[in-house]
Amino acid sequence: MKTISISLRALLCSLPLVTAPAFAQDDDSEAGDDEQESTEDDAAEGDEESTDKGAADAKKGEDADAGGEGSEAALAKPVLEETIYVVQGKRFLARGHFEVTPQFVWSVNDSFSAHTGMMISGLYHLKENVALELNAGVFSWWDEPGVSQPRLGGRDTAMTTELRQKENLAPERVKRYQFPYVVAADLQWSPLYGKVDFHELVLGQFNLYLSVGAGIVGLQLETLTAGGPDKTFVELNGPFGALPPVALTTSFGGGLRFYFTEWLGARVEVRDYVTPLSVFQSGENAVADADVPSFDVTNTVLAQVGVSIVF
Amino acid sequence: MKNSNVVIALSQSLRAVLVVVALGASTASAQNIDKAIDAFKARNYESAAAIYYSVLRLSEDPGEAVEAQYGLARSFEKLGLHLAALKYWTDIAEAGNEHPHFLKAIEGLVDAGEALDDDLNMPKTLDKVYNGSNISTIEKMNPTVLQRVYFHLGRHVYNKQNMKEARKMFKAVKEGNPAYPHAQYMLGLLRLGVGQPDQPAPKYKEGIEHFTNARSAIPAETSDKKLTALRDLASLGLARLYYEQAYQLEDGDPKRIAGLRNSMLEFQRVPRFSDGWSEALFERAWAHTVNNEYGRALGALHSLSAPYFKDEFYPEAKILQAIIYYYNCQWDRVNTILDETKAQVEPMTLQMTKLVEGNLELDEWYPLLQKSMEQPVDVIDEALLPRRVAAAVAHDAKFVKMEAFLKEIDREQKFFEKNRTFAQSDMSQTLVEDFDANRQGYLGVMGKYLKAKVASLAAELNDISTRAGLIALETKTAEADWLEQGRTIENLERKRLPRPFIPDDTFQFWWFRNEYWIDELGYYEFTIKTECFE
Repeated sequence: MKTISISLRALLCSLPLVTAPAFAQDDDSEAGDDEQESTEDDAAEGDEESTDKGAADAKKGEDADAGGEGSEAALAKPVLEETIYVVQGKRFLARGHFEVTPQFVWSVNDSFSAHTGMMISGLYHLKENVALELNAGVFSWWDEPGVSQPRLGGRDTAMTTELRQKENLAPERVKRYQFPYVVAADLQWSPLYGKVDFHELVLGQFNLYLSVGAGIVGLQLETLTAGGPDKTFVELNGPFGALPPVALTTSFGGGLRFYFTEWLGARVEVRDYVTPLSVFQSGENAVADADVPSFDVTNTVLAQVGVSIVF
Repeated sequence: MKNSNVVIALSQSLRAVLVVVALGASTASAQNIDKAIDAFKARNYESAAAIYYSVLRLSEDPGEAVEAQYGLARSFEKLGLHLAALKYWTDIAEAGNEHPHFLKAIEGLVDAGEALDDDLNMPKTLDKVYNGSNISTIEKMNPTVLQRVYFHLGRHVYNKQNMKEARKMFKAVKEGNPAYPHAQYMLGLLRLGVGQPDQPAPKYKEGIEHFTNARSAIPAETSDKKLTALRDLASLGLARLYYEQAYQLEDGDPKRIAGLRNSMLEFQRVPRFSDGWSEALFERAWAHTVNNEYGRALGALHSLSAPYFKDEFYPEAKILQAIIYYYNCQWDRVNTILDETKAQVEPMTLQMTKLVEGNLELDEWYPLLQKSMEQPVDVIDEALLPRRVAAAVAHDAKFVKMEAFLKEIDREQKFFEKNRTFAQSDMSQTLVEDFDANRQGYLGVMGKYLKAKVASLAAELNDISTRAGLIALETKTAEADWLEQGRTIENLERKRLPRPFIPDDTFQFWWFRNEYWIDELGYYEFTIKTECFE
């Protein structure tokens, strides 16, 4: 039970007297954002991290509520200073907005084939931390500029070229599949958010997200007899005999998304496209020049960097 | 009063010049007035002003003289020399409705006064002119201008405590007129009895209506600083009104809770980073305290301690903090805050009292303030004002107006000195001398205000020391009670407490780790747990 002395009540009562003359004050003012504050006064648990101040200041937080009593060190030692939090509305709200991101993509893990290309992704933010994404990307390469024509698809890595040219060896056939395009959909979830201050010039916010999805990749497979400047590819059968040759793929990834303004952002992402592939000697999907059957589950890890436009 | 000194002195010098001119005038060429008119029409306002001035000095024809007077005022107006224009508009207006340009002078007077933000001299002149047969002439004016005249007259009589007349004048300003939001705001103050010594019972309902009208009449997208400032004042007015209304109700009364909630919402309508923001934060802290939202109250006060607010001075914030910790029986924190407050406030009070009681001439106060502003925050120089006090005074609304007026004197004086056309005329020398003399006089006026302001702040700080002493006494009593009951008065078991409620995923939260981020100001919340015994 609180005890409030009479004299303290009198001090509190003096507020109207103190503030009343201020009605007559007259100041210049600059327009700005209205304050946003919550109107509830419940307490809940939470946690948050903050990085050191450096070239850019950053703060990170978590959407998920997790253990709010502080660190073990804080528990062990009496804390005499006040517990102070910042509770603020996000500067840029993603919920209900679309986001289009053209991206430059390149593979980072291939032993025998490499891919470089462009991708465009469209997101719809279902919630602040949940989004649905559609991706479409194409890979292309110009084997010998001036001699051959640019073409869609991946390319041999330096190791593959060396094996073929110097050792007269070739990787297992299934490992030579390359992808001219990819179309996929995924669901994104952002468990971590934060804000960053670039030299006090731009105050942006960021979130770390994870994604999982599925899609299709186009397939191409170089013929065994290839060797000229313009590569030739085996004619592959597509599903139902009517569609182009494709394979189902699933994707897992994660990335970091920055918003610098309400409409402009950037993202960096790494995504693994896991694709089961096979080379048959016989049957409906037989590869014409297959020497032995081979099977593989390919992990194509793509690094993706792009600029986001939010609307 | 301060502005009127300038204008009266200028008027006197003009009259002196006219007398000399009348005695010594040899020829007053009628061609000159035509040349002046031609120059004015050709938008060569500098030449026009110089020729009009020459005609005013030399012409023996009264008809030419009044035309020259009017032309001079118009030329200065076109050149943006509002102070010089104000002087000639005043002369014409004071000549009364027999002057052929009387009504135009009234309009010019209002325009120049508004451009100078002159809420003393121009209304005073209008009040002087608004009598006898002038009234019927003035009332035939363009209604838009007439209502602006009513507003300024209303403010003048308001300051003279003639509330009945003030209300009549303010009510005559109709919606759509540029003065309407200002008039509505003043009506709001009037209805609440602000600034009235007899303290009539406040009429809250009408007050809400007028403040709301004032705010609604200002376009949301306006970038006019005076209007945005007025909008914030209206929001502050509403917030204070709701607070006062709610405070009188019993604790637990739903109307009290709703009133306090409205008050807080109105405080939050004052935009972040506006001039009124710090005031809104400080007063919102009181509203949260009365509503038993101690964490939020402390959070609002915490924002005021950020470097961004280094030029704001709210010593009373410490008293409020102490009260909040007292309510929560955190005696050690109460004592720490009170000790800090006394250590800060008492030397300041002494320093300021010495300066007020010292031998400073009035015209030395403004330079003193400027020097005080330049000193580092932590340095104590007894010959200067404490840095924080100086900053607070320099941000005082009335002082800001006075300083702007002084700068306008300087600007116009420099214009007359440097301008080629004027530099070759007699007008330049006369007016520069007048400006110079009046600058000196005005520094005295500012000094008087500054001295009174510092004296009032010293008294306020002294009052804060007294209140700190009272809280300390109450705290000692409470501590003694606790000790008698065998309780510990120092809590060393405090832990970091859970974060406050987060409404939804559009909000984010962080720990405050002794680093102020500009975007976080205004959003701090403490988690405070009562340590009182049930």
